[in-house]
Amino acid sequence: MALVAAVPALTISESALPSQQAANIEKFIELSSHLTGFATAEFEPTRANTLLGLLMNSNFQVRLISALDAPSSEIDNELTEIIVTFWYAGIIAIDGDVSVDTYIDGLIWKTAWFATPKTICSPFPNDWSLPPSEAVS
Amino acid sequence: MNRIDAQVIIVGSGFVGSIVAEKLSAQGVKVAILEAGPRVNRGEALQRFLKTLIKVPESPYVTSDEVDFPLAHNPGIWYRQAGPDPFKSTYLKVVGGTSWHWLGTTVRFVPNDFRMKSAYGQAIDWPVEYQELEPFYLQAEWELAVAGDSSQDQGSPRSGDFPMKAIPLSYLDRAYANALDGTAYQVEATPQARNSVVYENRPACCGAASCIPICPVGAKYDATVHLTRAEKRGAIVYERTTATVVETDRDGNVSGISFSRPDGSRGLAAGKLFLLAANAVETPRLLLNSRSSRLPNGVANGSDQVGRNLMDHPVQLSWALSERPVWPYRGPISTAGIENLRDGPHRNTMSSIRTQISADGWSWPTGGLQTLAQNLARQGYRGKELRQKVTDHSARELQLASMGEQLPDPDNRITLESSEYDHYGVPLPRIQYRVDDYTLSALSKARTMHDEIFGKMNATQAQHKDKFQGAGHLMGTCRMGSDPKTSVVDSFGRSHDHRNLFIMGAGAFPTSSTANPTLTIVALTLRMMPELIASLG
Repeated sequence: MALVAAVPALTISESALPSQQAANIEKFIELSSHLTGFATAEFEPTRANTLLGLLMNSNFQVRLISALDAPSSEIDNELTEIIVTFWYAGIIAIDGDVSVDTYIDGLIWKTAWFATPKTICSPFPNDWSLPPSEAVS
Repeated sequence: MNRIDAQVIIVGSGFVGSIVAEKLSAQGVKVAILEAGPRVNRGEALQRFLKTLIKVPESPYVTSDEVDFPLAHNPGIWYRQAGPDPFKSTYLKVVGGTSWHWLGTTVRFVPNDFRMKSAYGQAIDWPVEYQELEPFYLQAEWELAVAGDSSQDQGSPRSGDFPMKAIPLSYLDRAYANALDGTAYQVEATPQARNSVVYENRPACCGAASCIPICPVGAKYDATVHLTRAEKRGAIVYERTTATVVETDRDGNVSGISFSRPDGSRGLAAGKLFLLAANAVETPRLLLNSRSSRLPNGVANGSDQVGRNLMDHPVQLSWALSERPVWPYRGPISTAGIENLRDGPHRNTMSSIRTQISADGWSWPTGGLQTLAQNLARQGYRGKELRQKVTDHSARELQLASMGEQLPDPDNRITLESSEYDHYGVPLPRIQYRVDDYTLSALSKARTMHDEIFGKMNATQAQHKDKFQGAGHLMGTCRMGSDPKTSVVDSFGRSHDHRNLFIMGAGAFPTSSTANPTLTIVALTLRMMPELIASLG
């Protein structure tokens, strides 16, 4: 599996204006929210821009444009997996190219809220010996 | 030609090399360590791991053409597998060796592990018995700073206490213990070389859930603990210095170790005594590559046993979903196991089992949290339903890993690949390997046992890997014994063929037990020390 060497800037089209770009990012965040179950405020526009740009330059361009216009519709499975994987696991996986965008900032750590990301110390000493505090309270 | 002179030349800076260097340098002995790999900067290694896509035990550490080693997801990058089974266990080449990514489990052998032939008619007996090794086990526990419950001997009688209290059982462990109460399966705290309190200027475990591949704070023992002390006392570590040939003289003594470096330079390390402490692949590879007209089978190989009897602890991996949340993915990767099935009359016909209760959910079999959301999306989950499902699923993930004992088989062996070489011209390791029915039948039984345990947890979706996994426990290629015709070294690790050559590590194990090998490696090393020192005159 090849790694993505670099992340290109958003290139929705050669003539895309900044305002159109911002609108598309907003739409992409809404789509991401719809697919992942997180509020739009949880998504960093910069990271959204990264994935949006890559998808627009991939074989998923047509399907993505369709999804941006109707985020509540039935979204293509492959495209859904890419978007879900990106936001939850922080992994970019498009057209056979795979790379890491983030590990620590993946939504998985907010979803599996009790879990400790590898290499990050737990909040309290020996806390693994007890049920997580939010489960008890 | 570079030259290194010391009284003792050590190849490898892992558990054995570092402890021996520290003990010898404390007595004023001049020690030089040849280490193929570079030093590890812990912070840089952590960052490398976080940025790496494929998060395997080797991810934090740098490989290159000059410093190459097998990778868990691609052992074939280094091993030349001759089958019929793949050999899946790996190791590192860095200063401190594979101690950087070991789990930290420090279980003792049980007495019958040393007498498999006498007790069960299988394989061979060791040239040393448990009772003789016991004081060194205790010393090893203090050297490695083991946290454990001194009231539980787990079938291995103790003459003293652990240096510190046990790492607390996890909530997950206690869920198993409660569910298995009154059954044949006893859940017990695993002794671990991981600080439960601040100890010798190292912090207590902070629960970073990354013992493998790297502890972020140094709470888990690694060989740099002893190496640092050794260097303060004058020992010199030569990093990026790969031993290529063990040189011998006409009297049958080792005269030096030839080495090569990434910059193309070569040299000779000369001393009075030599200790090979790489691992059960690299040590026999070095010995076999040292063949000459005088020693056509290689150095220390009059018995033709060098490279033979390669063993691992083949693992049966199983996973399921608990009825209720057990909150995995927190704390050390494992803090408890089922230890009471490691001995018994069944060993006449079938391997014993040691079962590890793993706290890292489905990480090993499926990729765990890194793949969970994607897998659920593939199943059709979307939006809040997906999010809820991820939380629910991840909180209930169970995983058991049962390790079987593998008997020594002379046909399971390391040899030299005839036409492929590393950067320094040393042939790559060729591995011929097969797991026999003695072990496979135990792994089959482990699947049944795992189902039973999952049943007690009211778990669903139980699954089993259909092929065994590697445990990372490389053993048995330079075995010890009393008879020079059938073994490579004596019980103190001294070569039968070359009086000033010692070989120590899990490669010296005649049989493999079901215990993780490190504590026994260190106990044997400590037992070797007086013999080594006496040999210096």
